[in-house]
Amino acid sequence: MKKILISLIGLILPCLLLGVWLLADRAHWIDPSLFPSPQGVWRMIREMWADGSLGRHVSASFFRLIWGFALALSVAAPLGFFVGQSKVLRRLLMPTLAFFQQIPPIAWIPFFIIWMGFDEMTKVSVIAYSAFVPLFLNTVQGVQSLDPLLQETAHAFKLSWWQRVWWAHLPSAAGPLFVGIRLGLSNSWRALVGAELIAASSGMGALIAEGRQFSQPAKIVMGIFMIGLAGALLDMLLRRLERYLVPWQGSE
Amino acid sequence: MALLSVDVRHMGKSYGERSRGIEGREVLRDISFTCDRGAFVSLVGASGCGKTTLLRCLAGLEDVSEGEIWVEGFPVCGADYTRAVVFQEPRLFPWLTVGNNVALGLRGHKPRKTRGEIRDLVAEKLDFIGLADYTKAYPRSLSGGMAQRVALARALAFQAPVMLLDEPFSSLDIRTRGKLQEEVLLLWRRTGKTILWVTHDIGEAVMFSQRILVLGGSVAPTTREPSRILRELEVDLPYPRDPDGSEFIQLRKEISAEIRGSD
Repeated sequence: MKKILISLIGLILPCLLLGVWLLADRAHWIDPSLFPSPQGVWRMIREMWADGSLGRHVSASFFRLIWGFALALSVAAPLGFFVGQSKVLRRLLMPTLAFFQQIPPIAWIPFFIIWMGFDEMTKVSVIAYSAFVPLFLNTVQGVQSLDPLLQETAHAFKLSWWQRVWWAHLPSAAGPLFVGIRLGLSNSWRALVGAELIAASSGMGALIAEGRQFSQPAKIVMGIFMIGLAGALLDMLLRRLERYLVPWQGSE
Repeated sequence: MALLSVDVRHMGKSYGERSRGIEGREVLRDISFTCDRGAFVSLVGASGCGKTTLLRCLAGLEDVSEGEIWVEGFPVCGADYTRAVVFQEPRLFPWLTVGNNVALGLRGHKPRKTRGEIRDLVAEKLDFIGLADYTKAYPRSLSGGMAQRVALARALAFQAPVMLLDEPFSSLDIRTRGKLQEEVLLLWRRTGKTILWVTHDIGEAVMFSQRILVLGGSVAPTTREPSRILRELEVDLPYPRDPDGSEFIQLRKEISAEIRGSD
């Protein structure tokens, strides 16, 4: 019971904000052409949910996210694993990576559009690009972070190369890799919305662009709300997964 | 003649490659000793005298610079199945359960053991050290003494005829240490393994070992000279030994005088 109450504490602030918003609207402090009323947003959500367009936008974004992220993960994790084990490879790659790391994914969108048009691939590429760096760096760091004493112990007990990878290097990298996954996902979620604002007819970003075009502030706020909600839910899901897959970390 | 388990011949160890133009630091010089199969031998000496280095050379974790080490009839070259090590720290893998940590001692074996064999052997070793209930626990939930017990079980699971222990209980409280010492003694008597135990605790050495090697010679940093074996003593007292007995006290005194004399 107490546990449930504690987990509900996080809901106090959103409720308070909603209350203030409702009050401000009731008192006519807000110009409805500049910012929508809560009821307006709620109506918009119900309408778009009813005609299925909301579901379409959300699933379009998620679909891109999954593809792009899977692409990044399948390249970044194995690559990071090998680079993490080799000092020479690290020296070779890190300066270049430090350069690319600083470029926001959105800066590449013009190029992606030139190369791939307004194709799905454009959005998927942006996601893959923005997820790659945190995934790669965290894997490298995870592999490197294996305690040298444990490495020596593995040698003393005659573990083969494969056994050392399986019992020592991979699990040691799993914790940091998960940090990378969470960082990468939230990075790519943000980049995706940026890409959709510019180059898409579906997705959360496109929803916001639509709202701007047709002067529907309720739609914009709904888009923003959905983006935040979906991102937060995704992160929560990952934390759950982390606790399940990396059970040796954490305090309990 | 009993079979020789450990045979160290004129072994020396230096750090720093002369080829790199750095004056090498010689840590151990002309170390020679043998252990019969099934012997309990302690290596004592002041801290920094190279006890751990000697043990690491015996384990095959470091190469010797001179001479050679033979174990169970084979020259030592890297780690192999004749020796299991219990380190100063437990060195458990935090992401493996206690059971899987112990199993780590079995996985390197050839021919490979089946899952069932591994499970049974792990259960047996954990039972032996009294941690059967913790098979599925993670190392972070263990106390220092329990963790070192698991490390002991892991070394046992490796099924080597020689056990090398590097001050394994030095960071534990006196009571836990006493219990674990008794357990090693019990293990030794039951399994008949050859035990080489590095310790700075003279009492511990006299209490449990049949033979004590006193290592020393490394004097003040300015006139540092490599350590060698200063003395070998047989401890011919029946178990369990009485730490207040006159012979016990006499031996203790002799050893500490030897160590102090080398400083």
